[in-house]
Amino acid sequence: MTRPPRDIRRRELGGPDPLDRRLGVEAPSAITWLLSLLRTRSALGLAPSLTPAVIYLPLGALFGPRALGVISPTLLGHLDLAVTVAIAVLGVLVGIALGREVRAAWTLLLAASFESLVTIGAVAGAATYFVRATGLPLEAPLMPFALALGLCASASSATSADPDTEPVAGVATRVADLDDVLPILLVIIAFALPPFAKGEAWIFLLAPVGIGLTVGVIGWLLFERAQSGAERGVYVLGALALAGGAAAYVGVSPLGVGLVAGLCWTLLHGRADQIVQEDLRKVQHPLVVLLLVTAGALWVPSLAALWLLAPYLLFRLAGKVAGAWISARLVDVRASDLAAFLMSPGVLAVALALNFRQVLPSAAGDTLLSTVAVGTAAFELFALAVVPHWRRRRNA
Amino acid sequence: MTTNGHDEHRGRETRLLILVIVIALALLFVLAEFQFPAADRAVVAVPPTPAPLERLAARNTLDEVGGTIEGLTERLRPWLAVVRIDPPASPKARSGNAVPAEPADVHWAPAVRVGPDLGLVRVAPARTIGLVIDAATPVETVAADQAREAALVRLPFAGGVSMPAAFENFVGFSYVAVIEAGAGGISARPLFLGRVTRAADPRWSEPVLVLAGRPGVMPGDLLFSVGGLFIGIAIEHADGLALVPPSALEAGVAAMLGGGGTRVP
Repeated sequence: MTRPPRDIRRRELGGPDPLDRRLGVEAPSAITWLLSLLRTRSALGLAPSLTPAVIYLPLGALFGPRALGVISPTLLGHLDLAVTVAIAVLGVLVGIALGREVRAAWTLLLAASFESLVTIGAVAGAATYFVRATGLPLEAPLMPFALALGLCASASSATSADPDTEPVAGVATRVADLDDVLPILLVIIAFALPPFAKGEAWIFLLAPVGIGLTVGVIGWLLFERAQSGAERGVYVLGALALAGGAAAYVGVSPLGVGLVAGLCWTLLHGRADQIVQEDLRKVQHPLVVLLLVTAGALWVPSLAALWLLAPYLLFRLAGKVAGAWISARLVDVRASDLAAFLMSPGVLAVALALNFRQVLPSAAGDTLLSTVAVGTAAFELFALAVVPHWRRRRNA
Repeated sequence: MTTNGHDEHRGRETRLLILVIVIALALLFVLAEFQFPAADRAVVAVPPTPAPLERLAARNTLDEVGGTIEGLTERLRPWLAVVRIDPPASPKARSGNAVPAEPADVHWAPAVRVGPDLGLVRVAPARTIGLVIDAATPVETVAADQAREAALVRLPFAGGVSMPAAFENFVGFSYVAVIEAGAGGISARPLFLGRVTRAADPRWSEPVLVLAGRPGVMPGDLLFSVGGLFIGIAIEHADGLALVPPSALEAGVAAMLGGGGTRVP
């Protein structure tokens, strides 16, 4: 099997499918796109839509326990494990992206890490100051909470960009892929420290690496020996369920476990990464919908979440612009272009918030998730409506 | 691209970056001048979030009931207080010599918040309020009503907390949580309540719910649904034990504060 084209590697949680692009499908007009959202496949998440967060977060809130009640609190409790597995899948996709770029594109990784580090620092610092200055009550220690908010803010997904239209889009997409690596590593460290860890720090620091390596080796040994596609699919889904389940059992981040497993499958000899990617393509859009709808259903309108939205929105914007300004020098693109492409947070921000919600005290977790969910929808709208318009004006 | 053009772009981007950072900082400092509303500062103690696998694992039904009642106790904590009810003051005490009550004569009752700093507690005839745990001492009794066997006591201020959400039209035949008080604090236990019938009570503006059979509730106990809605407070009634529903309690509290009870200066 030949190595797949680069664009397949992206997790495109909502971007156009590479196949569609190869067939020469034109970029949809606004009305066509809106209509496509109403079509069954798109609405069910079986086909990608441009900004799933804008659609599925409100949909989840509508069907959630605070509105129509179709998604009950009991069902949300049962969905938690599926959410954990979905988060592990995102980790695997980031790990595969890292594994492919790590040898050839150190500069890209460095640029992406700078960009995410600046955003994490900006949002965490602003949130810390804001909470202290306003006396906003939190049921969790301030510093870990602010760090969690910063980590959620650092995620980017340049999926609204078409990588074939201009070179900067391709670079931005790769930066957006790789800027998730540092936050996931920081999440692994954060989960090993109080108040998230429930035991010795070094155990919780090594556990995701150990579980990820175990899952990686199991998958590596099994995937290529499958007798049929169905058997292979079972192995892949089983490995991912093991990654998510083991992470949930031990109390570590499934993103970290997935990252290590994905890295293993890419770096080890063979084509385990391609097999996983092919099989995941069938389930990744429904998993994204599951994550977003669950996050929407878990949305708790509160004054605290509303107040935190101010530093989150302002300093994510400032952090991305500043991060892009630093990183653009390393990857030789315009800082403004890179910043524009990195505005969209994608589903990883929501996934990180869901992951932190699992370990934070419930009210603090709800506040974090609600802030990040609304912030994600706002930035997706911003990226969808403002950025292309701005880019058109710039190119004119 | 010429060097000049490149520099021009870079200069414009730097100006854009500075502008964004300055605006963000300015807005942050302006917004930070506003204080978070005090009414929303009441932090409710919440149990730790169970791990995903724990939520999925099958649990013994009795364990599940126990967990539900434990969680309910934590959720209701802001609305509840523990009050020590003392026996009638002895002649010695009346003469000014403080005489501690005999332990056997003392009992504890739960008070339910009816306002940010007011709690309602059932006080049996001829008894007095000796202590409100976590409240200022001496006890401040705002109003007392011997006919209704109720008293309003001053509790520590809790912004945004008033009477708990009411269970409207409780019809019985369901599991409820009985809130009891002791020297150790508030406790709760599950109880199946059978038939309830409505009956008039001249002391209350609305019918009370008379409990059939041997309900296993003491006067003064507070009853909540398993979902946390307030069903009522247990009182003695001519037909047996009864529950005063929240709507009747609200009217009773208004009457006590408006002079319908003994206003304590």
